[in-house]
Amino acid sequence: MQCKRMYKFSGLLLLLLLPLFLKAQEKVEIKGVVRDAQTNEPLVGVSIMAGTPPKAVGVTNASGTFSVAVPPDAPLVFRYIGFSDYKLKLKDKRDLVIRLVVTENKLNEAIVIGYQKKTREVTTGSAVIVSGKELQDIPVSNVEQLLQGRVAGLNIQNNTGTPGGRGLIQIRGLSNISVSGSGNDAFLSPTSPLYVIDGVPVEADANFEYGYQSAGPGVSPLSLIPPEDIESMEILKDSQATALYGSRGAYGVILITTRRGSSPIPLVRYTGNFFMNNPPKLRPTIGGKEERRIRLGMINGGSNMEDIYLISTKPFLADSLNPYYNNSTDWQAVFYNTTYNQTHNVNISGGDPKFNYKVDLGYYHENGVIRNTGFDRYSINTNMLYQPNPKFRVFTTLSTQVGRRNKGNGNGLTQSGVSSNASGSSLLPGPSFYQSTAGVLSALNTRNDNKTGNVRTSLDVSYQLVPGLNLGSSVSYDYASNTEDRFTPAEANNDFSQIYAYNDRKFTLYNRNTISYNHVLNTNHNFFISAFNEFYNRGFQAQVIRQEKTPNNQYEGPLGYDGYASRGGGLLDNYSKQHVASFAGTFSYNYKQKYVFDFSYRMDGTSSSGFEDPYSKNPAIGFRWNFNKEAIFGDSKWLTYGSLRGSWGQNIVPTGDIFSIYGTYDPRGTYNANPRLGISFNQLPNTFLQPTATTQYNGGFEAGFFDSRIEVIFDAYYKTVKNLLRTKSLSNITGFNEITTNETSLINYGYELTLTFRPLPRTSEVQWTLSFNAALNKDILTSLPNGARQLVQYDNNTSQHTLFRVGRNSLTNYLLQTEGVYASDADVPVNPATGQRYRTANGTFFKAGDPIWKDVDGNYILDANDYVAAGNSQPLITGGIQSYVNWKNFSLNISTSFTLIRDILNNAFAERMQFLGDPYATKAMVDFSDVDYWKGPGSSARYPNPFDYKRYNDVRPYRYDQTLIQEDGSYFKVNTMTLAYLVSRKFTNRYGINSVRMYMSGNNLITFSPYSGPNPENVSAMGRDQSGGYPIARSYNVGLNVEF
Amino acid sequence: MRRTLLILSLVLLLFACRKWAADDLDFLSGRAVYNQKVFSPILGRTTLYSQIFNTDNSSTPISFRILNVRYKKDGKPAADFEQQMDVRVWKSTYTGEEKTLAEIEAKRSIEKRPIFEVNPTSGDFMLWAEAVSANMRHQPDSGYLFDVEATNSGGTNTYKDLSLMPMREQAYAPYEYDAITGRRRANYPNPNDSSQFELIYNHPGVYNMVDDDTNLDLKGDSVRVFFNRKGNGNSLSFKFMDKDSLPINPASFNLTPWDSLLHGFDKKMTATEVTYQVAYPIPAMRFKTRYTNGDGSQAYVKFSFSRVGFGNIRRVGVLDLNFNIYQQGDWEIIFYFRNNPRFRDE
Repeated sequence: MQCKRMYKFSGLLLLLLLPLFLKAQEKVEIKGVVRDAQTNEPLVGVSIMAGTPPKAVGVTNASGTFSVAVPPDAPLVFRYIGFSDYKLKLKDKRDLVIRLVVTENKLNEAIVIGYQKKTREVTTGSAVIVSGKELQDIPVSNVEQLLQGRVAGLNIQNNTGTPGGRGLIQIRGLSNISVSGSGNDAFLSPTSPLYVIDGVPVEADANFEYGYQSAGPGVSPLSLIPPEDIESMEILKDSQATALYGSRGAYGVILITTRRGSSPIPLVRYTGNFFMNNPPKLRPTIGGKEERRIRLGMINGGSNMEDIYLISTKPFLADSLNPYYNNSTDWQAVFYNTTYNQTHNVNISGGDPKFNYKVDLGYYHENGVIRNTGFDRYSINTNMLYQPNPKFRVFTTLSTQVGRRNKGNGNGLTQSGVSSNASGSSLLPGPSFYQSTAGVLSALNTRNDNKTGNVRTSLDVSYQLVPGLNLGSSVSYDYASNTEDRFTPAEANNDFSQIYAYNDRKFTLYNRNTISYNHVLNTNHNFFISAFNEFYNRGFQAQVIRQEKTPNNQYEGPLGYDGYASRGGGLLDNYSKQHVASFAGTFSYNYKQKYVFDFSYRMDGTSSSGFEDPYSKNPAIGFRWNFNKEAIFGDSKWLTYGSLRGSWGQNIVPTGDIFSIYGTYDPRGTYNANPRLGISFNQLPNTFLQPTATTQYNGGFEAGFFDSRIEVIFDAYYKTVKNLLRTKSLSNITGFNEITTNETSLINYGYELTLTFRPLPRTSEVQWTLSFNAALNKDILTSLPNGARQLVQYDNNTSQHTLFRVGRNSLTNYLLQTEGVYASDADVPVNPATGQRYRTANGTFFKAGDPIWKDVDGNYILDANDYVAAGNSQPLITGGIQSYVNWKNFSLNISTSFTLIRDILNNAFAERMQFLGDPYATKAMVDFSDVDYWKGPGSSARYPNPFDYKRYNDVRPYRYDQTLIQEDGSYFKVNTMTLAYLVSRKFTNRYGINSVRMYMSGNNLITFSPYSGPNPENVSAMGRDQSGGYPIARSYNVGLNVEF
Repeated sequence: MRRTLLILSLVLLLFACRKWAADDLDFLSGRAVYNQKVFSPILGRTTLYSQIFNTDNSSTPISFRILNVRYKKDGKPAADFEQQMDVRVWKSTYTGEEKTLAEIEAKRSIEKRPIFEVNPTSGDFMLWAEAVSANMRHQPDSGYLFDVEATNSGGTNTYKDLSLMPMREQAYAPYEYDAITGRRRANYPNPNDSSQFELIYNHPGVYNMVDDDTNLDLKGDSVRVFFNRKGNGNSLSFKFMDKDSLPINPASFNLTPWDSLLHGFDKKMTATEVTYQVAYPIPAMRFKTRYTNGDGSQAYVKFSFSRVGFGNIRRVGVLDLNFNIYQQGDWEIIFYFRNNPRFRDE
């Protein structure tokens, strides 16, 4: 308000001074440059208007400069889409530098919902936009990583550092409880949102749906998009916003818009990054003599002659003078190293609204911090818009991307081979000509060639028949092919070399045809109605060849078919083919943009639904009330905008496969030389199978105060995920073993809050934007197959069972409750009837130094009835804080994120303590000096005695299935920090360069957490900190941005 | 207008709550069962039936109680289970390392308990040692029927007609009387003639002993073991008798480690017997100590002597016995040699 008064005052001043200018009545020539205040980049095509009323007098050229002749007293207005108008009165200055400020007002953001562009003001759904600018300057293989902490309700955990890999992403909590694999490899099926890249739906979960056992290169399609090419990303969260992506939008939708050409003079923009990846701090290990001393001390301390004799059979303990065993090898250093990497990107764009184009060439090269791993990306992305007249519009894209990945001998996500070898005893000799472990060879010398090729093309045509009536059609084709060739030398594979070749192909053909009509009645009533249909045709098929025993390591194939050398392969059983046909209609109405009402209805038929009822009906409604337009707020100065909105709707995701609907025929050999086919009696077909559906209520509140200097977005939602697939066993009288049904469901409910502050006035030299967001999400399981209340998924590997119980959080750890350590033998409870101490099921009595496991059923025996529901592997609160400061040519960008209240099972810690339980094993002895373990009778400690190796296998004090190793995994992380400097344009223009921007950035800088393990984020989706996980590197980057 | 806004914001907040979701209740499987439904414990000793309830993955703890106790014979309600007795319960565990009798006794205390009860959280059944034929029916009577109710917040299951059919007391083991009839056990060589029978006796292990009369090896059945309760004290004596029922001096078993023969105190050794003050039952509990057999279920005593046999070979004669004594008292264990062993050197 004060500013306004200032303006008025200065206007008054100018009026008073007007007579002074009157003498120079003839037009004056002014020139200057218009720049984006934030990035300092020149703005092309800014219209310059002068006079009252303003008349256009010119536009800025390709380098953002202008030169116009105006009356000396005329007020000037610089206007550019997306930016606030810049008004000025000309004084005697003739060379101007105008800095336009982006209209920072969430209300004016253009939102794309259901393939149409709307302003946020008339949007009834919940959507968030992240500008591409925020996602640059940090070289990452997968742009998704950078979204972490930026959007309330979008939970991203970058839980693997593997180059080209992909973390966990969830919009509004858990959407699936299907866990495959066991132990550390327990894998929660990903439910990543649907990505729509320039209007083309893309399957982001591709290559990941089979968990840690995934074959192939395991490169996410998202890792193939260079972040430099992204103009903006938009996250659609509720059912109304995603309604029109409904046939696959149940897990939320993320729209990616790539850059477009907008300058009549072609712009060439080069971005280069040089970055260094540092492995995180590795665990301190006890090496050499000290390791042997501790081992021998344990054995001699046991006072058992037999054990002491056993030393002489273990040369690595006994033969300390043998150079082979007299080492202090740092195994971790063998596998982990610092790497230097680079990316280059050239973006060429140009054109005007009638015809524009963009070509983006990208190269990304990253070596993993684990040796023999890395990721390279080569990409060419182009698009072109052709609009000869306002009625006819053609937009095409063509993207080709190749990802090349080296996985070493791990899989896409973990490096268990490395971890088991890196945890070898330090007494063994390091890598040399003679290898002590084949694993080292295998990890370092396995030759890998994993390629992912992706071609994506689309064509979008629209035509306006009569004003208001539009016809549109869009076709896209997405083809991806993955190959993996691996050669393991003979020395690394039990003296027989191994060849593994994998290839798959995947395609998606997509077509959408739209007819829409909009009409404005009496300038107040706005109607929009449209109908469209949508078709998907998708397919996937994978093959594997695996052969052993080539003549030598130099001969890597081709190999002929030979039953002796073949180790199986052929067509994999994850073949899929799917068709989806959808028909949808949508209706929108608003009155003076004050009251907005949306309704949409769609029918989705998918070939992976049971054929008895293939179409699911998905309605969605939404309303919005922009109450700032009510008369009572009409002249309020503090309220910039304010609205309430609400929506309800349903979306689906096809999840079934044809085998669970139609059953399977198996080849059964031959009979009388005729091949036989028989019904597979494993799975009973379910002809009523439904796709997974989410219904969601959403209520939202949005407001901006004090000229948008404070903005608030608050959302509350209640989301039901129903028809989750789960396979249940059948009674044997049915003749089949199992059936897949839709009986599982869960709910998520929560709140999301986004606050944005701009503490400094808009005219200030320093621009500072601070935004904060947080989301609280709770999930509750509401139904299980057969109406069961509880289901335990047993884990035979680590016994870390998962409890599914109706009414609780959906994924509950099912563990033994550890309540301390027995300080002395007398503390062990005694069965009053038998006098026997509390014991394990196999009859080993507990004693001092053993963990106190709660005897839940009170029978003085530790058994399966003593497991308790303990902990939630899913986080309760996620969010982040971002700060952006801009001063003159400098800018500082800090992005942070947090995850609060989440339980992590520190399996890595348990494992290394388990190593202490066997002095005879050639395993690393990790430094245990910081562990508060039981040291003798009467000492109270947090952790049990790790050295009681005789009873170790009976008691297993450091077993995985206990709450001792369950810890709070809350963390606050400084994700990225960027300091950028824009070189003075005067200087660069001298060399014909438009702009040069230099920056330094860091990624994954620091994490604050009470968690005792290395990184609370580097854990699986099930919250298990596996030692085989790929550590997340810290990277430091120097980058350069040059525009010609 | 303000009020409308306020109401609408309240509605917004209420949006996300769990009122439509099911409550978090325990799970009690309908298929959770008792694996054992008929219990025939022996009276006079504490018997625990453990791990007999299969929870079928129900949420624990489940609370159990016994209902509807009745006699099987006539279905009339019975109050026998509820008799509150002073039972001896363990407070801390017996280790076999105790130095005095008082130290062992300090590990036990007296509590009032119903003589037959269910562990309220695990469903285990306990019959206390104080249940004897005086206060319980026992076989050949058909005993008792009772129901058990298992409850957690997920529901209630009732298990009907569990059966308790106790056996009469067997004060010691091995026991030569019939478990049901209480009569002396015997073998009948001719099934058709009940007048011909051979009584069954308990025999110890006999190794490397020579019949003094015949120079032949003593067989296992050459020695009989008798358990004899003399009084209500807390002692145990060992006696050895020759074929004429004359006492053999225990000192003849010259290799026997008398001080660590069994977990007893105040050893008194005379020419006829050796006596210890002991804690009953023997062994005090099932726990492997130096005084028990391998699994701790029975006490183990071993008497041995050394002599020079034929050809100047030293022979070590051994007599050993695994046994239990459940009833407190002044017990004596008599080894009766039907053929005299030879103790002298050749």
